[in-house]
Amino acid sequence: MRVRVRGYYEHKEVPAEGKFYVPIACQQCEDAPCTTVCPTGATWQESDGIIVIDYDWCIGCRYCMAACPYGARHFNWGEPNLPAEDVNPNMHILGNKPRTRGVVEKCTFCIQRVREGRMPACHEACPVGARKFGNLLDPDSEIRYLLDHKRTFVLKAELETHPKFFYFWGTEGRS
Amino acid sequence: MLIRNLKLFAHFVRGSLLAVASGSRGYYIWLLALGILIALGATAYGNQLTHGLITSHMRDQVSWGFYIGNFAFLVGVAAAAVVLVVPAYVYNWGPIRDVVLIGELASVAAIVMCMLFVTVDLGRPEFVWHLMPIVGTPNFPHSLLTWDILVLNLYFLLNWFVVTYILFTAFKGRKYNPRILLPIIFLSIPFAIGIHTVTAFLFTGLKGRAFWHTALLAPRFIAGAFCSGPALIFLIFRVLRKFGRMQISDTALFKIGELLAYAMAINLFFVGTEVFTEFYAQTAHTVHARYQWFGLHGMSSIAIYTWAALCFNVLALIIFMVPKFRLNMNILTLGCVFSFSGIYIEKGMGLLLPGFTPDSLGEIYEYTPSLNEVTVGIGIWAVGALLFTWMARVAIAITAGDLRHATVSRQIGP
Repeated sequence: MRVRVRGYYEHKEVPAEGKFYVPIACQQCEDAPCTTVCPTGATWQESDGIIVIDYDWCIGCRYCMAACPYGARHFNWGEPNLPAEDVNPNMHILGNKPRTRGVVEKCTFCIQRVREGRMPACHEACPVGARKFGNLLDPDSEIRYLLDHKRTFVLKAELETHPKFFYFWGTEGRS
Repeated sequence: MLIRNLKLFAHFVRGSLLAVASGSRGYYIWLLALGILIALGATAYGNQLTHGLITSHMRDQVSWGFYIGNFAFLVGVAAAAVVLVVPAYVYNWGPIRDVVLIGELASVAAIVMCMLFVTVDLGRPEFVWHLMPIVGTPNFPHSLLTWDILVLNLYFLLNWFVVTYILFTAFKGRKYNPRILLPIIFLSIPFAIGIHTVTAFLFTGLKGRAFWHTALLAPRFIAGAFCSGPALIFLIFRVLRKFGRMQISDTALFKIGELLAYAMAINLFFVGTEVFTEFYAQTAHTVHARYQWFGLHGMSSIAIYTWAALCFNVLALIIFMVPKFRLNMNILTLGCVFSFSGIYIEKGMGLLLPGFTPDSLGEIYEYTPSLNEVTVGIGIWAVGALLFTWMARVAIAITAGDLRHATVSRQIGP
């Protein structure tokens, strides 16, 4: 009983010839299919828009993973093995607190950071500043400027999940 | 009156326990075999509890597999009792009434298996109470899973009540009161359709999974159920007639064959409409059907099962349609085996896996169940078989007149 995989990301070195890279994470949908289907109400949208999971209330049925159109939810199939020295002591109960085996987890826009007014870790780590993050409701924010002035799109727009994760072309004149 | 009935019910329970505790040598060998399978399944489940669902081959790409596939199939088996209930009680058609009791017992066993399959699929079964009202927070009515749990439990209670009521009144030496029984049986008919519709809606309601997001899924589930359930009941009857001293007329068995002809014709028609829609006007979403029927990028281990299911179902239809075959008990039996296995593939993993393959980001993870998963599954099927054996034993003893209040009182005192 073998299992074969044909992955979408199988190159040793990037960028590979003929490939176009689309980084993906939880799309933080305004109409999130994953929260509707949860039988225990263990996942919901916070008032600031972030979709979170109560890791203590999740029973691990994985219905949300079937519902998510973006593959953004991940299950702890085995015992998590994060070494103690790698655990970030700056924790949020709905964010980076260590998860147990048998529960679903997801990107929370680094809730433990953004709730303190800091940027998500991916934003901070990106060497070329390709990621932007901000308050969509603030008309003066950088993210608002980009949405209003750049060519943007969302993934699987036809599903009308209304993601709050946008893709934009930063360079003028390029498609 | 109530006290007397309670006392009688206690006798009924004791009599039933006595009936299941004794039997021929063959009966004990059967129990031993089931016991071994259950022990193996329990060991495998223990292994899963110790190490987590990593003991399965499910992963993020294919997050449901063998367990949920079996669950979806067994909901159909449970629902199919209704096919037999309708003619038996509504039209008061004699010979098939014997079939109904056994059909309802099979439903009860199937629902128990459904619940076990869902439970073993949970990452944290110890927190299953989070689903329950009062102590937990069921996300009702938004989550279809809470609907499914609700209707499955109600359907279980209805069936359990019907069989207990019929058997208990027979135990007392009386005939059941149709004014109590018929309304409940009528109620169980929409519930049978309901459990399978809700189970189909679990999948149909997911807009991110194009393969399941079709209005045909619920009708296909029902059509499949009407093929697998009666076929299983037919096979059970042939076994019971041989080993279980169960009197059942050929007429009743052939009637099942007739019902199956209609059910399988409709089921195959649905398969055809789906294939046409997917392949005649292909879209990006056809990729799942392509995986199902032909495989993708050389990864085609599921395709052989899809074609096998089609062959089984076509052969079954031929047998059910041609009177010469349908009225030959052995050929009809073969047809039922084809029907049951065809639907097991088609409405089990055959329905589930293409929905996840390729996954939502286009990755192909070719799932096949792990040995541990299959062993747990075999254990659950053995639990279902054991439960059914015991219930059928009591039912046969009572309907045959061996187990009556009068005889039990003599054995165990007043």
